[in-house]
Amino acid sequence: RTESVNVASRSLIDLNANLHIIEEKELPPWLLMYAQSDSSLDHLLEWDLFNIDQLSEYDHLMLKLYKQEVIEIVKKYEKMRNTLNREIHRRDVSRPPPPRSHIHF
Amino acid sequence: KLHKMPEEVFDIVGKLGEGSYGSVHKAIHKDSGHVLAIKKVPVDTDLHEIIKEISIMQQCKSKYVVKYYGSYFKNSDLWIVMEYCGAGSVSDIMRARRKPLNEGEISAVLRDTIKGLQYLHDLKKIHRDIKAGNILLNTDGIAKLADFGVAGQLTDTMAKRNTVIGTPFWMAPEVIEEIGYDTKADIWSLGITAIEMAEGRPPYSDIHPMRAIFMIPTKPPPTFKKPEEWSAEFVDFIKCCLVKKPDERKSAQKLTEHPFILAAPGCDVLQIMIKDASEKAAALQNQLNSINANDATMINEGMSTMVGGDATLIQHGENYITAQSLRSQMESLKIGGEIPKSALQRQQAPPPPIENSMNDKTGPSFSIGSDDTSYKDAQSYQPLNTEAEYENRFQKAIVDGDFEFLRNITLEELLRRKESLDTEMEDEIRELQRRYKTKRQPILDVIESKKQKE
Ligand SMILES: Nc1ncnc2c1ncn2[C@@H]1O[C@H](COP(=O)(O)OP(=O)(O)OP(=O)(O)O)[C@@H](O)[C@H]1O
Ligand SMILES: [Mg+2]
Repeated sequence: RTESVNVASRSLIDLNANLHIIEEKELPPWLLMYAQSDSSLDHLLEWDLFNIDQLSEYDHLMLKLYKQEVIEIVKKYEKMRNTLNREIHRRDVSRPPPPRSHIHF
Repeated sequence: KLHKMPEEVFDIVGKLGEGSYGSVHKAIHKDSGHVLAIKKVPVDTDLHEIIKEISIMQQCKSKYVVKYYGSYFKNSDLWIVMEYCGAGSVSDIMRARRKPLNEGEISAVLRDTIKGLQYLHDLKKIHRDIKAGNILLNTDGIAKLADFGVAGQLTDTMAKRNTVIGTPFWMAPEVIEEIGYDTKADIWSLGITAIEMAEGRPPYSDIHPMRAIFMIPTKPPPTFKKPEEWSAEFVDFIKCCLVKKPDERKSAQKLTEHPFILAAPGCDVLQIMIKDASEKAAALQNQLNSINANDATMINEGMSTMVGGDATLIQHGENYITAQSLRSQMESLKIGGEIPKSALQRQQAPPPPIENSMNDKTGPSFSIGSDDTSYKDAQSYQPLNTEAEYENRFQKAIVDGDFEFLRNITLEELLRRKESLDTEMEDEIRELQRRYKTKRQPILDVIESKKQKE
């Protein structure tokens, strides 16, 4: 299962720090919960009670959340890649070390 | 006349190419004998956006933007009729000649492209899909922007539907970051396209697209692989386009005055390039024909980009229209043919079962599924006994960032692991996509059924 997204520490401003495409304040907590919960309870939500504008907004937030989670996955593997490269380089110096990263994890 | 079926109006004479969402054909307008290009796109999709775009595109009149004449519905295909560009796209040309463009050719293409962009940007329109594959050349050696509007909209709609994140290589950082964007996003893509024309591929195209999504906003702007091979003017041009802060990026207007663009040769350079490309393509075609006698007219293989457009672009303040108004709008837009049923009458989705009434917008309080603790007892310093335990360690390392155990495994194994990272990442993203698709479906279904009732 997917790691829960740490929404609390997000800020959009710092381009060179972590990549955050969704802000906590734009995301209703229940929607985050819905996105991350098991699907067996999804039928409990009566989307019918919202109007089209609200639903479109929620759907858009879901897409952003998806994109954010994709980025979290990529970051996780990027970290792994760097570590593997470092260890490989340590064993065999003829192989390149990980590049000096501009990414701060 | 307007409501004739398209095959009464046009003769389809050959296939020009295939994109992610449809195929493009060469056609002859029967009455006038004009040669045209027709893009056929299967539509089981939302026509509202497309129709809005059709009217926008029909208004565009620039020598440097592919003209758009109209569209038809034929069975469940949308036929988009546009200006024919006999030399194909810049990426077709690179493929045919098996080499990238030289500086003279690049600057000539860029000059026209910038004029096209200037035209669109003056009208406050954003192209959103600038790349070598969307710069077409006519036989006079004029470069024109293609896939503006309808086609881009289709890509968007399809991608959104399927919870897909678009091909990122040409995307400006602010587009990826979803912090709002304007015409400057096209200027970034233009800079990427310039590198693409010079090196044959855009930066980061050798890594997994999803990794590129992360790199583009977090790394400094890309540069040439071998900067010493290019003139100072060209290097500076790229630098002007590839500025991360959109406000500090030059406008199309400003770029027309850039020394690299001012020094661009005339269209004769592109005519020579086109001639060379068509000779090479013909030679290759001959070879292919001798192997396979029954082949298409042009060679167009590979390189068609993996996924759709940006899945997450926002269309603010959209006005949903009813089937009735849709029909009349289409008539006023001179669209002939039958509107596919699937586009108008979406099957009414069954309402979600009512078990727990939701009174306000706070929503129900689900408990998030219990944390998977199965990795917790795997320990770092024990020798690796079983395959399963080994897998466990690796998973734990990826999740927790505890990499200490790597010291215990062989170099070969480390290398093998590194090789499989992309596939593992892809699997995980695919699973995430599946989950989000499921989660979004009830929302989309209700939106759809509400639209029908309006
Ligand atoms: N107006 C046109 N005149 C001549 N050839 C065209 C025209 N439009 C498209 N083509 C040819 O058809 C090919 C496919 O175009 P299409 O727009 O469907 O896909 P694409 O731009 O290559 O890829 P994608 O769908 O991923 O954007 C182009 O590469 C080009 O060779
Ligand atoms: Mg195209």
